[in-house]
Amino acid sequence: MADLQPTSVPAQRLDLPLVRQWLAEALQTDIEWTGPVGHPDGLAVTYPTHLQQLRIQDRLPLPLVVLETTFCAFPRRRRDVLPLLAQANSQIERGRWFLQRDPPRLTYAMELPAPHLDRERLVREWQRFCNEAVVFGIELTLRTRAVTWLEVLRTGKGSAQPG
Amino acid sequence: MATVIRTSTPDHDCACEAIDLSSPVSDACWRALRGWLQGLQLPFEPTLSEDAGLVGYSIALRNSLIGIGLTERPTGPVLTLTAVLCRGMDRETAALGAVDRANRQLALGQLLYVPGPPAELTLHAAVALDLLDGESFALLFEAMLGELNNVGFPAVMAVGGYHPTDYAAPWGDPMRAPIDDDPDDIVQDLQALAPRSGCGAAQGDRCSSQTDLGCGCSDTLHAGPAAVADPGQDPQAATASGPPDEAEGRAAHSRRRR
Repeated sequence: MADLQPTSVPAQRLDLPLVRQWLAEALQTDIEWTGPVGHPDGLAVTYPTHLQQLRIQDRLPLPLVVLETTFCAFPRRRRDVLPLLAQANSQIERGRWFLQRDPPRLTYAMELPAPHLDRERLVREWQRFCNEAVVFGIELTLRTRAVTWLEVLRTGKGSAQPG
Repeated sequence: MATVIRTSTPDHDCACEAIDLSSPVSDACWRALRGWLQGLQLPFEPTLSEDAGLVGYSIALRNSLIGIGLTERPTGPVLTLTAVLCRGMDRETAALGAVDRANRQLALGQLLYVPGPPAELTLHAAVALDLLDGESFALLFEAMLGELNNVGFPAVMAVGGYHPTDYAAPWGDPMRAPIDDDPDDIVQDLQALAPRSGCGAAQGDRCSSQTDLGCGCSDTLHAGPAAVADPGQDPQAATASGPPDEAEGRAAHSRRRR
């Protein structure tokens, strides 16, 4: 295995069109814009299991690329949600699972320092995030008896259930 | 045979000696990390393990001990930053909720709840090493400290956490905890913790504030936003100068911190 070193890629200012181009070339799939029409603030790729999103965040001293997916929603075993999220967080090395409200949904997010991202590294981290999301997301969906977020988006199923 | 490497710089006189032991991560990566740590101008010490050799370095700050390490992963070395925020907590039943709220707010890393005893809250961040250089490492470290103050310590306050190196010292100790005392955060935490009615405060105590948090007693948790006044203000001075409700609230807040 190559002995990877700290970065030698020069720092650059990332923007969404460039990132979209990288992902489109590497994934050979449709990359969607997210956010208001005319003012996109992120990208999204739809997988069979989940919708994986990307945005660029400048809130911290270090610019970050944030990968995020809302995997499932409307967990019926509500009391199990927080213990299972804590368990998932203790098992993953990077990123975090957390519960969002209105509607209740389980989200996984991970950030990458933006200055030295290049196409190869972005795609590597994107795939890694995707694998983690699927592995833990499916387990969390089943164990909390939730509905996948894609199903919620597609059918509205679950939205009528009490939160 | 271990090799001792001087990591101190002439203008940075501290006991920063790193011991070069066997590690799955290459020497070049450790050298780079040592250089970045020197750039922070903070004293750091090696962390050694009998099994794994050199596992990282630690930086002791006023309010936390931050571990910085490198681990080898199939995709390459990963830099990890870990800060133990508290060991032991008064309200462990609130831990899962506080951790989840923190993880929702965090922009970097994750807050972990490690069941005890003693139960711990740990802020953990990991980044692929090849995404960093000296400048971005320093920014990452700064961002980590910001998240620690803005998100991590409100969670510690919410669970009544204890100082990680002294189980007998609650984080509320003003001499020990230079935490981010953002009144808004604390009010939110207190609102989340306050019971709906009744608090078991000592008989004869009276509620210090008729706010939406007030319940007719002087339990600190029910003292209302007025209780979360300027933490640096002397309670007695506040009693002397401020309106009665506000001054009593400040005193209550000060009691809670002690």
